[in-house]
Parts: sequence; structure tokens; C-alpha cells
Amino acid sequence: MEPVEGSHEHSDYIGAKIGMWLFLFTEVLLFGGLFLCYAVYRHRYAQDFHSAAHELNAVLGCVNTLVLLTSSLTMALAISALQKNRPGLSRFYLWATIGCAVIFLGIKYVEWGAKIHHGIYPGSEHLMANFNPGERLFFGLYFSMTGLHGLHVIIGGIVLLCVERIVAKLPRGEDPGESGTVTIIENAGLYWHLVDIIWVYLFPLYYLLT
Amino acid sequence: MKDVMETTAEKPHASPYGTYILVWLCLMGLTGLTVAVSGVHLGNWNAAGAVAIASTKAAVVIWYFMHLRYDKSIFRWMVLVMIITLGIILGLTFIDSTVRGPF
Amino acid sequence: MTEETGKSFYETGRPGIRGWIFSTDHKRIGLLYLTSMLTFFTVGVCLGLTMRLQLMFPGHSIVPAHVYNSLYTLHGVIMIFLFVIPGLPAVFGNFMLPLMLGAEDVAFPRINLLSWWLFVTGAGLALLTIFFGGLPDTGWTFYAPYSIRSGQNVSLAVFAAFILGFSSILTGLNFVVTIHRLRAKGMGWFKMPLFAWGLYATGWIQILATPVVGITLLLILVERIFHIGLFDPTIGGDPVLYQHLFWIYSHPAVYIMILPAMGAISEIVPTFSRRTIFGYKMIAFSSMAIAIVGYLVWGHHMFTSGMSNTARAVFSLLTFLVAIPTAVKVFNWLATLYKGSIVLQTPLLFALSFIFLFSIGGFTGLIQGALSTDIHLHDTTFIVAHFHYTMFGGTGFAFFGALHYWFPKMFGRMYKEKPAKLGWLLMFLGFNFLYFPLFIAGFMGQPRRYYDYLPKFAVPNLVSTIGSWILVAGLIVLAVNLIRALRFGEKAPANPWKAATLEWETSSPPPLENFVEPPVVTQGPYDFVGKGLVKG
Repeated sequence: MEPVEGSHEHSDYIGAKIGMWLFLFTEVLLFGGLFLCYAVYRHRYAQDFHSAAHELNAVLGCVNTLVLLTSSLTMALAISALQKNRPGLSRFYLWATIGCAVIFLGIKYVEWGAKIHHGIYPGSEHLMANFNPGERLFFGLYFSMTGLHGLHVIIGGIVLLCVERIVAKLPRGEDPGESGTVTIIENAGLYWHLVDIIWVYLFPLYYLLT
Repeated sequence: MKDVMETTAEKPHASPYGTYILVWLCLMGLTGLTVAVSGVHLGNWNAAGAVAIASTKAAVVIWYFMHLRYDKSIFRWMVLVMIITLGIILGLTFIDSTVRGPF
Repeated sequence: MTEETGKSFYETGRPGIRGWIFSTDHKRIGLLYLTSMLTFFTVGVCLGLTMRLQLMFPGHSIVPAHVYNSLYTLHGVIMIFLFVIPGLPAVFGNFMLPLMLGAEDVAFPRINLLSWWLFVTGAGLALLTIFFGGLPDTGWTFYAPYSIRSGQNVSLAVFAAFILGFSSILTGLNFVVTIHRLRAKGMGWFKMPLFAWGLYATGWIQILATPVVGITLLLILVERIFHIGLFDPTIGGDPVLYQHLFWIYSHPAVYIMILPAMGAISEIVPTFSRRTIFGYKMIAFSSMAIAIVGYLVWGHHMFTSGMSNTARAVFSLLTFLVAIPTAVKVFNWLATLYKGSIVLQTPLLFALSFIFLFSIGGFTGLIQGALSTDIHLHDTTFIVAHFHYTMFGGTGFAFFGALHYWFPKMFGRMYKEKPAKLGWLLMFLGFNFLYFPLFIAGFMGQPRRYYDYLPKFAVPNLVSTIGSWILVAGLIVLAVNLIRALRFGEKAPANPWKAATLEWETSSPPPLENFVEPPVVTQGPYDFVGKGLVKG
């Protein structure tokens, strides 16, 4: 959806931004449904959720948090650089952000791989036989929420790649604010920060409440 | 029509890089805090503390990185509407699921 | 663009079918929605007719039980997701909102086109279930755990509904931004037509409620593939939580269906009583109030599902609150008619029958909002009658009222008044014959969603089936009259009804970018005297 959102011909800066924020609200409520499930089951199966959280690797979770927070910083810097009409610097920060996204996904892959290797995945016999109902739900939610979040990281990364191409193709000396490129990078940035915010909640709720 | 809407006050606001570095340091510190707090056993307050710290971090990201601080007030109102909606949904579901107990 | 002035949007733009299905013009997209939606409506009506035929006599069987299950599921899915929810906003909102605001188009024309494509894709996927895996038999609510275990192709159906949700979100998003940013010079918030207020409230609900059902339906899909167990009690999940999540969207969705309809009624009533609307601000605010209160009441769909008693009492109390802003609107419409010079033309007939039928639907809603009576009435045909009075008697009649009101603007032709009135009369009578007996049968205890019933419910069911034929006869008269008018109707003037809102100031049908000169607004939307339409 994002490339379409960013590429409309309208030159209304505020309008495009309102549109992006409204779209972010839909994303928040999409995750909101899952957070609601999490809250209800955490309340119902408090003990099971505590014991299941021990299975997750808090160190990897923490590293991923730091990676995503840093990517938010580079994203904000990329926007600032373009606003100050320094497209080269902006592209550097965009690549840094994309790099963080790749590192995040790599770590996530290792984590998921280890879990699946140990037979902990939705519907597995091991999970059904050796775990309590609350623990099964914990892992079901863990895989759904981090999976949906990972999907958003992938989409965000692709959007940032597109933005990088747009910035790279800016004609020399042209004010990026006039051509609408600033609007595009700001909206892509809003999306990226939202992905970060969702992880900010996921990290303590899954990894730290042991 | 578009020309009428486009006024100088609606141009993007460029922030100094230094602000962002400070914000990032603050976020790193809060991450450290949430890890530290999780080591202390406070019962149910652990979850409440984790959500509170996460919300602080989210607020910092929204306020500075997402420019809510510099944008027109309409954006702040809209975010408020969204948060209230989310609160209503969570709150009203909980008047069922907390009182019902095991099913 | 300027050299094209004088030509309507039909005569400009790319020729052929591609000029339509790839057009970003809001008027063309509105008409695309109109044709696709009326097609689905026709299918939905046929399914409904078949169900009524099945229920004509007790023990009388034209379809087996499991086919009947698919019939009511499909009837519900089509009518709700493909007709009532997108009905007024996507057709008349798309076509009229930029005209009413004095804008060239909506804020994001390409996203608008994408939203229609998503709509068609979603609808197509839903229909694919006919060929792959069998039609869903869960009812339109997809209640867990049955929807997880059903052998029919529920996966594809919920995915289709997810896509349709996105289409709805994008329409709402577009309207909210359009209203914020593209109002004509001089048009403050309180100089906006009330239809735009209705769409504004609707847009917010579409944005803030639809994603919740999106994730819920995705979870059903994930549940069917990976068995994560969130709604499956054998793994540890809670099916009642599914109902919460489903109704968190689907109750506000009821207001997605009705708010634009109320907006359209607020346009028709002042125009045909030649008076400014009574209590403009109260109607505008009550739209917002309905949108807000709509979020607080979803639990009243679950009084018998095993919710906690606290939740039941709270949701019942909150439910009664919805009646207040709705009543505000009804009283304001009636007060507008009072001492007006009423012109009893077809759109007003539809508007008046809307008020009558929707009031019945609303009052019977209060009966179910009360905890004790709902225990008796839950899942009986009383519920079926209630929501058809609100959804069809309300939104459906408003849709046909709006169609007759804006038909001259959209197509540049006038339809014949007498057949339209005859069609309305048949529809109104048929509707009441069809659904009122179901109140009685439901009160006597006939359960809904059964393919057969006890002989003691025979009389109301027979009357109801006959009513369905009268209703369809009315629909056919209306359709023939309008289709005939497309070809042979008289050319419509710019303002045939002497209405005061902006869309009537441009030609019928409008030129490509709507107005030759961007309009400047100085008067209120219903200032008939100020605009010289009525002598002061």
C-alpha cells in the first residue's frame, strides 16, 4: 500500500500526512486486536505466561530492541538531512536504517529457528503434549504477533528501498521539499517509527515478564 | 484549490541532529531501565511497570521522531482519539473477561 | 482541462471500458461502485427470495438443510459486506462528496481507485468459494469454534472479507482527509452539508473499527492453518473472546451502514420541504455522538453468550444511550417538515418511509437491549425482523431515496414520477408484509437460521413470503423506470429539485473537474431564501 500512498499526485503536504497518520491508526488497531488477546489471556493464565516466557531468549530480544531503536534514529536523521537539502547524507542514513532492518530480521530468524527446532511452534505435538493451555496460547500469540510485526519490518524495508531510489533520482540542485520527496520520506518514516513502537511493546511483554 | 491550501506555515519542520541523538540516548536508557526493573520481583506490578516504560518510550518516539511536537495541533487531536478508542476497546472487554473467571 | 468545459465527465477522459476501470475520477468510481453493488444486491435479493420460498410452508422443502445454511451465510455476507456497508459512502459519497464540498476530486484519487479494485477482488474471492471447497455455512459472523472446524471453504471467505475491509478503510480515510483539506473557500465546518458530516463520522469508524475485524478474520484463517488455539477451547482459547473481537468492529459497522443514510435523509428532507434544516448543529453533533457511543455497546450482541453479569449490565445500560442521538435526528427531521412547503416527490417518500421504518427498527432494538427480554428474543426471527427494519428499512430505503434524489445529477436525465411512486408504494407495502410477521413469529419463539419450523408459525411465515414477492415487484418497477430514464428520460436541468447545496450549482451531469470556477461559499448549506430558491 505504501508506494501508492506516497506517490499520489496531490501536492497537499498536510493532507498527505493526515492520510498517513490515519493509515497508521488502522495499523495500531490491527495490532490492538492481538494485544487485546494477549491481555485477556495473560490475565487468565498469569502463571503459564510467566513460565513460558522463560523459553524465550531475552538477550536476543534486547539486542533487537536496541537495533530497532537505532534504526528509528537513523530514519529521523535521514528525514532531517533531506529537509536540509542534503540528499547524499539522507541516502546514507536510509541505508543504515535498511541495514538495521536486515539485522533485526536475521536475529528474528535465528530465534524462530531455534524455537521450531525444539518443537515449539503452533500445533506441534510437543507443544500439545508437554505444555499447559496458557503456555500454548503464549507461544501462539508470540508467533502471531512477532510474525505480523516481522511482516511489517519487511514491508517497511521495501518501502525504504523505494524511498532511497526516489532520493537517488532527485535532480541536482532541486529543492526536495518542492518536488514532494520530503512528504514521501516523512510518511515512510512515520511508518517505520510505528513498526519500532510496536516492538517497544512486544519486547517487555514477551521477553521480560518471567 | 490546492494553491489556497498551501501556506508557508504548513512547510515541513527540520530538527537539529543533536535533538535526535539525545532522544535516542534517552530511549536506550529506558530500555536499560525496563530490563533492570524486570529483575525485581513485584508480582503484578512487573507487567504494569513494563507497559508504563514502553508507553513512555512510545510517547518519546511519537513526540520527537514522529514530529508530533512540531506538527499542527490537529495531529495531536487525532492521535488522542485513536488512543481513547483503543482504551475503550481494551477496557470494555476487560469488564467481561476479568469478572468472568475461568470458563 | 479548461478547453474541455461545457462537456460532462461522460464525454471527457479515456474512451472504452479502460477509461472506466482505470479512471481516478471520483464520479466514475462512484458509478463503478453503483453498478457492481447493484449486481451483488440483485444476487443477495435472489438468495433471500429462495430462503423465503423455502420457509413458505412448514415442512415444505426446496433446498436441503446444509444448502439453507450456505444460503443465509451468503445472503448475509453479500448484503452486509458488498451492499449495506459500502452502499451509501462508496456510491453517493464518492460521487457527491467532492461536489458538495466544491472540490475537484477526493484527496487521494488513486487510492480511491485502489479501493474499488480491492472491493471487486474481495467480492471475486468470496464468489470463488462456489467452485473451491464449498460455500461457507457459518453465518456471516464466522463464529468460532465452528468456523475453525467447518469443512467448507471458510478460509477463502474470511480472507475475502479481510480484503473488503481494506477497501472500506481506504474509502473512509480518503473521505476524512478530503473533508479536512478540500472544502471550498468559505466553507467552514458548519457550512458543510449534513451528508458530509455523516460521511465524516462514518470515515472515522471505518478507520478505527475495521482493522479490528481485519485481524480477527486473519486469526480465524491462521487458526485454520496453524492451530494456534486462540479461539479453540480444546487448546486453551476462549470462543467468547472471538465474539468480542468480532463485535468490536461489527457493532460500529452498524453505524457505518446507517450514518451516511441519515446524512442523505438530512439532504432530502430540507430540499422537499423548502426549509432550512431544523437544528443543523444538533444533527451534525449527533452523527459524531452516534459514532462514539457506537463503540461502547458491542456487548449487546453477546447477552446470551456467557459474558459476565457485570459486562451484561454495563453493555445494556450503554445500549440505551444510542437511542438519544438517534432520536435527536428524528425529531429534527420532523421539525424541519413542520410548516414547510412540502413537495411530495419520490425521494421524500423514501425519506419519510425511512423515518417510519427506522423508528420501528430502533424501538425494537431497545426491546433487545434490555437484558431480560433479550434472553427470550435472542436468535429468534424477532432479531431478523429488527435488523431488516434498520438495515433495509433504514439504509436500503435511504439508498433508493438517495438514488432517486441524485439520479438527475449523476446521469443528467429525469425519471418518470408516477412509476417511481408506484414502485415505492409496492416496496413499502411489501417490506412491511415481509418483515412485520417475523416480529410476531419471533415473539412466539420461532428460531432464526432454521430451514424448517413448527406448524404453529405457519401464518406469519406465509404472509412474509408473499410480502417478499410484493417487495421484489416494487424493486422491478423502480429498476425498469430508472433504466428506461437513462435512455429516454428528459434532459435534467442543473437543479431540478431547487436544492441549495453545492452539487446542484454545476451542470447535470457535472464536467470532469466538477466546477468551471472553484466555488466560494458565503451561505449555509440549506439557505433557500439566501440563494433565491424560495421567496423570503
